[in-house]
Amino acid sequence: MSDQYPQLVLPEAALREWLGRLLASYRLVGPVADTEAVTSYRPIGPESMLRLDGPRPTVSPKPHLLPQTETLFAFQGSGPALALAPATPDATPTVVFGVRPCDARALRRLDDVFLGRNELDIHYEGRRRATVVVGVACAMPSWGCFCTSVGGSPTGTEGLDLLLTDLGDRYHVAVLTPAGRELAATAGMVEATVDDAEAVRVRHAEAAARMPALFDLEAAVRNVRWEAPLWAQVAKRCLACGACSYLCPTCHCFDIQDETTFEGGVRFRCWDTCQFSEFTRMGAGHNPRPTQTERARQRVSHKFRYLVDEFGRAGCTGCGRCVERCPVNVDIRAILQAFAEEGR
Amino acid sequence: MTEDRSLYVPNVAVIDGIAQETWDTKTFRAVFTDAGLRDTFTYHPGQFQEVSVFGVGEATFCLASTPTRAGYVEFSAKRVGAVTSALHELDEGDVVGIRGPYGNWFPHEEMKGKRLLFVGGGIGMAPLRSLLNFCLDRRSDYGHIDIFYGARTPGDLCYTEEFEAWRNAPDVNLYLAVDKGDEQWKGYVGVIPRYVREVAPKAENAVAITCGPPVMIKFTLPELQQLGFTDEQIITTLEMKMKCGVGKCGRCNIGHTYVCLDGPVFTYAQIRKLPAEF
Repeated sequence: MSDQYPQLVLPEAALREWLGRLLASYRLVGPVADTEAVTSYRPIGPESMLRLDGPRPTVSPKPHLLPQTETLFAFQGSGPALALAPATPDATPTVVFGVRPCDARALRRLDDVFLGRNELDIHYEGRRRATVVVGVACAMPSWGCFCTSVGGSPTGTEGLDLLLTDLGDRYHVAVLTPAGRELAATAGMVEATVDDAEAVRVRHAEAAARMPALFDLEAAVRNVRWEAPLWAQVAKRCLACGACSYLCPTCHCFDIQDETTFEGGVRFRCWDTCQFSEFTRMGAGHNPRPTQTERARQRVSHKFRYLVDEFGRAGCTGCGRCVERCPVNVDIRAILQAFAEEGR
Repeated sequence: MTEDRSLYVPNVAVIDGIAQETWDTKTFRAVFTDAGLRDTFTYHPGQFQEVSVFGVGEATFCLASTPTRAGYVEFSAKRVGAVTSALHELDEGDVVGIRGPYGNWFPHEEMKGKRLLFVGGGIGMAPLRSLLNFCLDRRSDYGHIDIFYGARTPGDLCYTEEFEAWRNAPDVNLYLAVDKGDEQWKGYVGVIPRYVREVAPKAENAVAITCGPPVMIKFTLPELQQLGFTDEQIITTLEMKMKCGVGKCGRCNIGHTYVCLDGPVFTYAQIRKLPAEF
């Protein structure tokens, strides 16, 4: 926890009022229960019931930073009369509230690709720069979670502007950035006491105890290799449905397509995945990744080798969604564990 | 490019020339509608661009023209998929979108003073044509030039209109080959690797630039090595499916290497270090 920023406390009863105040100046997105079992990050209004203490939301906040489908520009007319209308980047001030530390870390991974690496992607940048991220310490891991195995923590602060910790009748609020400080100033928060700090320490220790690391990440990263027989084993099971990528908070790969109307049309991008055969198949038919074996290798190697080498961060935050939602039980934890234990 | 401009919005260009190279391949000449861009646009031989037909989509093409001939860009398209089929339907005066140039390029600065050996096959001649015409426009910067260019049949050879200019340029030899000749064909019949072996161009102070079907490259490499070319002296350009062209969409990587950012031009020494997934 940072020392230069204040540690604050917000009474539980004051949360709703604060959210109401934020709604006046921000688009507010937060975890809402769709059913008892399914929670999603959705735009919320004054009447919405936020679910901060529930299980990790079924879908990550990724769609609010990188929408599943996004118009890049529209075109109209033909020949020399053709006119292009670039899409205006969406810079609506937004607060994403109640983000799990795993999902906040994922935003850093998206930043690496869209704000760094060669050219700036202004569509992502517009939303990202206008977004304040308010996290909530994770008190209820799901069965597929493994954040601590990939360098994270259920109470981690990477990618967050504020971190809330539920202390029962009140929230402890750790301010982490200037944007977070500005946001916290809109609520009637008081300075945290020594007792509050102790209560937070206990909660965080409990959270960490619920989430033991399953494997040695460094060993796994070191051993993930091209010729591993494991790829073919994973491929045998894989249905190539792409659910792992679509639910992944860090998977960023996309396709670009055109859609037409009578008068013109739009060029848009939409999520895509290396798990689809079309992903790399070229016009004349050649496919450098012809089977699911190469595609399984690509997904895991990209996250745990290529991104680590390029940015020093694995493209996985251990949110466990791919583990829980894979229809054939491909378990990336088991894959990494197998690599980590090789040669031991 | 200013920061408020989306990298995905292309520049609009008008098709002002179409050459039917072979039964399935055309070369398009495009001129940007923005007069300022037309005058300032430049690139290097070996770079690629994203070309789009509005309403159909975008595809990746290497620049087949040379920046020494300003005012237009050229690219060659073999009719294979949706975008290339739509391109083939275009007439002069129709518009396309162009993003780029992207990627690295043939190291033409380092090639100065050296002998150049071009080995192209089929439509793989397109990026080589860019570099070749670049070098011919600055002829005194480069040493002796040998051009090997092969195709299945005489009708499959592209850029036939330029053969005379290439052949007549000072200190240039043009070696054309086809797998199967016809009544008019008086040139070499046989595969490129064998032709290279027979002519035996010198490796000393030379660079070999090759692009073509994988089978041609596969059998040409040992011939070049036999002639004394090192892996660093052999340069090629790779093709992968791309969407964004700038390292965001995540599909053109070969292991750690993004073809759009680190390529498409590689030395054979670099290629040997890549996993065999291209």
